[in-house]
Amino acid sequence: MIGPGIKRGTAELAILSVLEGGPLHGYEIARHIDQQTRGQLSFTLASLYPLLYRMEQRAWIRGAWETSPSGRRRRVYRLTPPGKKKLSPLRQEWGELFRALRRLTKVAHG
Amino acid sequence: MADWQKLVSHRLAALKLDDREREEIFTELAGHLEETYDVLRRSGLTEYEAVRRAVSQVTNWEELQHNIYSARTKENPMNARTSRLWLPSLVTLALSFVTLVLVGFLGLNPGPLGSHTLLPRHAIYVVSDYTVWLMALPLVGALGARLSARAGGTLRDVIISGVSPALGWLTIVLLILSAAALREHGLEAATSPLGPIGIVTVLVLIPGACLLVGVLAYDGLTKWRRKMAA
Repeated sequence: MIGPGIKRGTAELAILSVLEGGPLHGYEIARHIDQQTRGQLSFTLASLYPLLYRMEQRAWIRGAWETSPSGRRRRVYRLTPPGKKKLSPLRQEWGELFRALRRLTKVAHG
Repeated sequence: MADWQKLVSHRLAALKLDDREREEIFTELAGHLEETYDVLRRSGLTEYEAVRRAVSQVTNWEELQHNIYSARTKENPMNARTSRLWLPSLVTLALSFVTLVLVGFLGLNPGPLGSHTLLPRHAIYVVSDYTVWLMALPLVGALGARLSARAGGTLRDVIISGVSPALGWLTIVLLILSAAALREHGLEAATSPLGPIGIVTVLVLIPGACLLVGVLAYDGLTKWRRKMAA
């Protein structure tokens, strides 16, 4: 059964997935998602940060200020152990949605 | 070039969070806009067009403000300040007291040391107990620092959380000295033989330094691990 929160869930899955590869700051998170999905999924500042803050409050990710070699201060996000645990069910839910849509389009064309 | 910090703080001026949290959010969002602008400029856009495109990421600032507020306050009943500062400080303070009681409970009595020294027997007991407690304090300080850092605390939060028992002791010492000062001959009894400066040194400054060692060790270790991971 696909839950009502699937839309937000996919965005959360995207963020957790890119952070699985290592810590990133907000701009990098958006850029990685954009590149890895070839522009199919993209975040603007307005859509990204409320989600990051929500996920941080849930302790799925953790942000900490770091200074880059160029001297710019950035808040870098890391995946936490609860965040890693959350990835698996989210991936399952996402896969379920794809399979359901595939079945639906086959029926529609069949 | 646009003053991104000023722009964000102006547009999100009504964000009802505590000052430090607001500043952090403003800095983070301004950094994102600045980075977007830099990339657009490097791609050959004019300054005007780069600014326009960077700012166009937010079509409704009021809605963004509401979404940030909602994300920061409704997801978790414990606000950021509590989880980053007050809770780690409380745990560290409690643990320092428990450690002190535990050291006493384990019975670190003068024992054979008393017969090999000219110092009074009572003094040896205090030194022995106290020394073991001091040795445990860096671990307590490191734990407080870790709790604060895990919750996303700044370096200031991490340090305060780690050394909070020393602040607690300072409060207690000041209360005792003040109470003693109000009683006849009380001050002399309360401060003897170390004196007020000695008491503050023994109960506040030295434990504070031990806690700080733990905080700095934790901070250094965390930075080293991040460097190695990178």
